[in-house]
Amino acid sequence: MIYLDTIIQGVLLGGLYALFALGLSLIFGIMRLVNLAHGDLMILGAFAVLVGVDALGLPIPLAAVLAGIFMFMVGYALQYVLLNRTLGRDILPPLLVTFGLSIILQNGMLETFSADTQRLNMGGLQEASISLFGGLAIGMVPLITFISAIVVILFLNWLFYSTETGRAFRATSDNPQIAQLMGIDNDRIFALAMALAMVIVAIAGLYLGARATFDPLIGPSRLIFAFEAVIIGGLGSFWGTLAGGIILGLAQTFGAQINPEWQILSGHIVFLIILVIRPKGLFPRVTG
Amino acid sequence: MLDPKNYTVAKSTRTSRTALVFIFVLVVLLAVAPALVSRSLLQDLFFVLTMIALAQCWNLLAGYGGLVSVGQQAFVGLGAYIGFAGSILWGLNPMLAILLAGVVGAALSVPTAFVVFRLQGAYFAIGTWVAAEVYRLVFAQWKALGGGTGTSLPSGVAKSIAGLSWVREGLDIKSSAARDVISYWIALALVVVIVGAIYAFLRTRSGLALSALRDNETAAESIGVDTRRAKFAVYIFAAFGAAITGALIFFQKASITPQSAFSVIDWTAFVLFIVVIGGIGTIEGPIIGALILFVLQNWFADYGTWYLMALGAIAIAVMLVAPRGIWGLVQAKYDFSIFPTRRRLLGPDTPVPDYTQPIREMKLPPAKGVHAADTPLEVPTMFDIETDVLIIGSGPAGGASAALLSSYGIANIMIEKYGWLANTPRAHITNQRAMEVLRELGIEEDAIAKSVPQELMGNNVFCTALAGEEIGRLLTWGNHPSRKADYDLASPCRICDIPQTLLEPIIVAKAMESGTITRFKTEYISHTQDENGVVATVRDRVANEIYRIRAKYMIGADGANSLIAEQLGLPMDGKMGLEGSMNIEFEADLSKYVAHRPSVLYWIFQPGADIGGIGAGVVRMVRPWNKWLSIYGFDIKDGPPNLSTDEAEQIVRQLIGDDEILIKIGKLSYWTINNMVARRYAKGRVFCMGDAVHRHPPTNGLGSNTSIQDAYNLCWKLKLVLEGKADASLLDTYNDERQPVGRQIVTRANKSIEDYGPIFETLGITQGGSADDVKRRMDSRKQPTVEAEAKRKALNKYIRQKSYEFNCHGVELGQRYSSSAIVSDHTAEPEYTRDRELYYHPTTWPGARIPHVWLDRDQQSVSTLDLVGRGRFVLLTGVSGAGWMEAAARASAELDIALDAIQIGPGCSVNDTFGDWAMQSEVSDSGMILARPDGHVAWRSHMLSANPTGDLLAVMRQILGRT
Ligand SMILES: Cc1cc2nc3c(=O)[nH]c(=O)nc-3n(C[C@H](O)[C@H](O)[C@H](O)COP(=O)(O)OP(=O)(O)OC[C@H]3O[C@@H](n4cnc5c(N)ncnc54)[C@H](O)[C@@H]3O)c2cc1C
Repeated sequence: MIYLDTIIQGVLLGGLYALFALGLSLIFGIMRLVNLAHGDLMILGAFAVLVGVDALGLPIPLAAVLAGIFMFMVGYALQYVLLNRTLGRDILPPLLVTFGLSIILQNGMLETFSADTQRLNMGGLQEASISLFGGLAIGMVPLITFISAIVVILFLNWLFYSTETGRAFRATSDNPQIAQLMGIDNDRIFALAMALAMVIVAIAGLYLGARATFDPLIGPSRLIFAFEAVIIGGLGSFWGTLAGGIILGLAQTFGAQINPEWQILSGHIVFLIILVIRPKGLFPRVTG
Repeated sequence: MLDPKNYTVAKSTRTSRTALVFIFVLVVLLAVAPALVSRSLLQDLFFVLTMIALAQCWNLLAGYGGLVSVGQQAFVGLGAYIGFAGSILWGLNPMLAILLAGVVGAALSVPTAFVVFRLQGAYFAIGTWVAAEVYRLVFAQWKALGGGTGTSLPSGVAKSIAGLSWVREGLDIKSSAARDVISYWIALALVVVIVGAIYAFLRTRSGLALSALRDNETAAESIGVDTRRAKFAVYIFAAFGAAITGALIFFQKASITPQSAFSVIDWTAFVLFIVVIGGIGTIEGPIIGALILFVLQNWFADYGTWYLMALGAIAIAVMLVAPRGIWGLVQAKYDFSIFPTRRRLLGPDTPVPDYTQPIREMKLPPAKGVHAADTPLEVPTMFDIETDVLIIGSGPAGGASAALLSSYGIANIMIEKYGWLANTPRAHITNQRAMEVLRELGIEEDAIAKSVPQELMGNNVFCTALAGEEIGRLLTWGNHPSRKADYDLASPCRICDIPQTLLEPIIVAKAMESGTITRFKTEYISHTQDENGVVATVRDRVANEIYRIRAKYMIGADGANSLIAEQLGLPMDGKMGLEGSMNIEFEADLSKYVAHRPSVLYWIFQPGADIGGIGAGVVRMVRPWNKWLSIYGFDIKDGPPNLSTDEAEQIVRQLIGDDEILIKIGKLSYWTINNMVARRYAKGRVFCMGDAVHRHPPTNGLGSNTSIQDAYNLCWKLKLVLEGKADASLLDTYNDERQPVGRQIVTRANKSIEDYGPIFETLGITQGGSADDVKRRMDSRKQPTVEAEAKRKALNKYIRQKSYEFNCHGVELGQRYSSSAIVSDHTAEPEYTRDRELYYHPTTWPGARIPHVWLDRDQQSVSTLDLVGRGRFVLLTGVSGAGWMEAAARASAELDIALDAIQIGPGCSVNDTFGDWAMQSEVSDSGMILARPDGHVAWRSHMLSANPTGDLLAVMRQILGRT
């Protein structure tokens, strides 16, 4: 029974990690950009919700929507003003610029919100759970998180394969030069993609804050989880990213089962093992 | 001139030698510093030195190796922990423990590399971070060293450091201060060793390859260095350096926690900022960066978070504005380096032996229109030299392009992979149309001087061996009296035979004389293009140096294995490598077999000679009558036979059929029969020409000739567009006009090979059997029987049929273009009254080459073709064409374009003495013919129009795309 519980917890944790990872996967897929500030932006998203709730006294859903809009604008501006200038064959500029950004974000948040740990208060929801057979129970928030991840993936797949915007995304991702010839403004498409990724990041921030505590400096470790989920799942497939998140979640919960100190370590180790056996991830998108 | 003896490769520079002395003095000063400065300054210096050590290691990884790691804290922490474990747990002397830390760091970097090297680029970065996290979490489990909370160094251990008492007494200080001094000395030694090692490494071949690596992986590989191994070595070295430094730093700190030892901020973020701000990819940069960080730290560290934010912002700004950092800016301005790691080629070409210039900014000899990039060091997509047109390949296509562009006054650079021009006499038949281009370039006489004239080219002999039986003969290349007139009437130039080895130097010499910069031993590697130009990455194969050339347009004339056509993804029709063929060069005096029937080609029909190759065995004259080339086929399925000299001689002897004659075998080369044409010749600003876009066998001798015509078609268009006189759309007509020609000649040349089959069959060679059987079948045609007569007739017909290869005048110069750069005069295309491949049909119908007739100017014969060309449009009109003369002057002024007008006829500057022009111009005396710079008719008018200026302007505007 305890194993079943561990599995359920692991899978649900995987939903959270998938949310962390989807934004990363999206922008890497479209513009081959790895955003080292991704984790910190997630924390920024969480703080944005927090500000809405604590400072403005808004109900969580409204605060979350506002945070989403805020992050959308942040993403658009960030990409349009800063990151577009770093794209190119050389990988150093985007890495360095986003690394610098990460340092700025961490310290900026530290300055604004202090180093205190925070948590989003979801009212009764946080304690609520659904009881299953044999004394098993599923927490409400983890479940909603998982469902949200699936909704986001469904949305992304719909966007990618059934809309004009998605066509433009795919065109630029396949070949930016050709896309330009087709009359697509790559800069704007990239900005739009980043804005979209930041909305997902805001959603991730919401659940991150709802499921556990956070502080301005934990962004980098969340970035690593996100990254691991993407790589395990294989680049270019959103469902793969979910699978990657679940595998990471399972590895961590099982590790913690053995020794709580090993939770994170066992996630990393499973990641490294998968990297050695299947460097392209478990579910890479078939090219062609 | 290109004698390698004239070149030396210089790595050190005069300034760098002065700098070396300076560095030496500095190191000595730093070494005695403990006796001179305060303890707190010494501690600061220690900090700076350790940061320099880490920054150098990271710079080696990222700046040279392209391995952008954000996980170097893994090795700093590892080193720190091993250092602590060694001295606390295993009782080692701290010095030994530090060394052990380095060794363990290097050892563990191997399995780490095994994992993280599976990731590329940015993912590699995060992968290294994950690895560092794993190390941190694992070391946090090491209970003996305090687990997650860490531990401190017992004071006994600190005191056991070697030489402590000696320093304490020597400098008369407390033992804690003495420990600082020793740490400081170790740090100083470490920096000297690390910098020295990196510097030495970067000056080796692998080091150079590594520098090339960040620019382009394939480039580095083409230098012949295994880049994976080089990267691997760099990774291990950087781990070693980081681990030793880490151990040292934490000995000095005397306490350790997993968080501090594996801190991404302290050991990676700061290090990264140091390198980027100082200048990545240089040895000087990290040193400068560390000093700057130190100053900032001292002044602003109290501001905590704000300080860090500012640091992040500075790093971002530097990356975006001056990605080469402070040292890059200094270099751009003062152009020198203390640690020159790049080699420079010093040779007769290098104008000023200015020892202060690293090759990256090597200025080419000053030439018009070529200028070094203004800010060579600031932009990452930078380039080193700039020109208008970059030509890749110096074969007939590239050479002709260079010569033509230079004659038009357009700046161009031509690069060639090898050290000299063609080294085997491949192409040789040089047709009239090609000679006309040489004539315009002013090198017709030079070419004729090196050529074998038409009269000696024409006895195309078909025989069983040179000394054997002659089966038939065909007078070729216009040597039959009935064809001689066709050839003579068609052009001011004679067809002739010049081996490619002799023609290329004439063309390229002309090009260079008129301004082309040619870089031999320089290989094209890749290119990128944007709306304004093309940046090509090329490799100097002498100095092993990669550099970039920016051009407004690029011409890919890189031959049948064109890398450019491949990279552009030009769609190709057809196949390569259909048959195998080989060239055997040899010397032998064959006068007795050939002088009475002079020819360039002798076709040998023997059993086996029909396998592979170009249809039959060939003995080709290179120089009469002692230099020769045999062409013989091989079965492509078996691959090139790799003949020994003896075997080659065997083949040659068999073709000659004389066992006595002295033969000296020369070079052997293998090539294949191809049948491929590009469906599109150009993409964006890159234009391919020559064998790059049409690949076919040498039958008909059209390869080099067509390549020259490709150049003749494109270059004037480039000129007008570059001068801003025509819209870029004019360049599209290059493809529209030349691609159909490419398709036509590829088909023609391959068809000509097939035409040998029936001859072999009729002779009975292909049916097999013993040599006697074959001989009997061949002799059967000599019988007085009806069957034999039929055979004789058939043979005669098939041999005559070969005129499609050897007298194919229509294909040689009868091209008619149609594109938006040709304006119809609304008359129907004149019909071909004779076979259109065999016969040239002169006409002035728009699109056709202007017909040649001899005219008289100042008592001298000039051809109509002499009147046109040289980069300008020319309007030819007659005695009653004054209206056109004026129209031309006005149009020329209005469009600001070279447009000359000439009246032909009695009383005019050019007289039609023989009246031939009157017969051939197809327009009346008030009409006109507008010739393009390539001699093709752009438009014509049968008489003076109502509005000549308006009509001419409209036509010119359409051609130039200036609507
Ligand atoms: C046996 C034989 C007989 C022939 N006879 C005739 C004939 O009688 N008449 C005729 O017209 N044609 C003939 N041809 C064909 C003729 O040789 C070719 O068509 C002609 O040379 C093509 O010219 P090109 O300039 O396009 O290419 P090439 O002459 O092949 O020149 C390409 C140049 O580009 C250089 N290059 C390639 N890659 C790079 C790179 N990456 N960087 C820098 N430089 C590079 C090469 O070194 C080479 O010098 C014959 C060919 C053969 C094999």
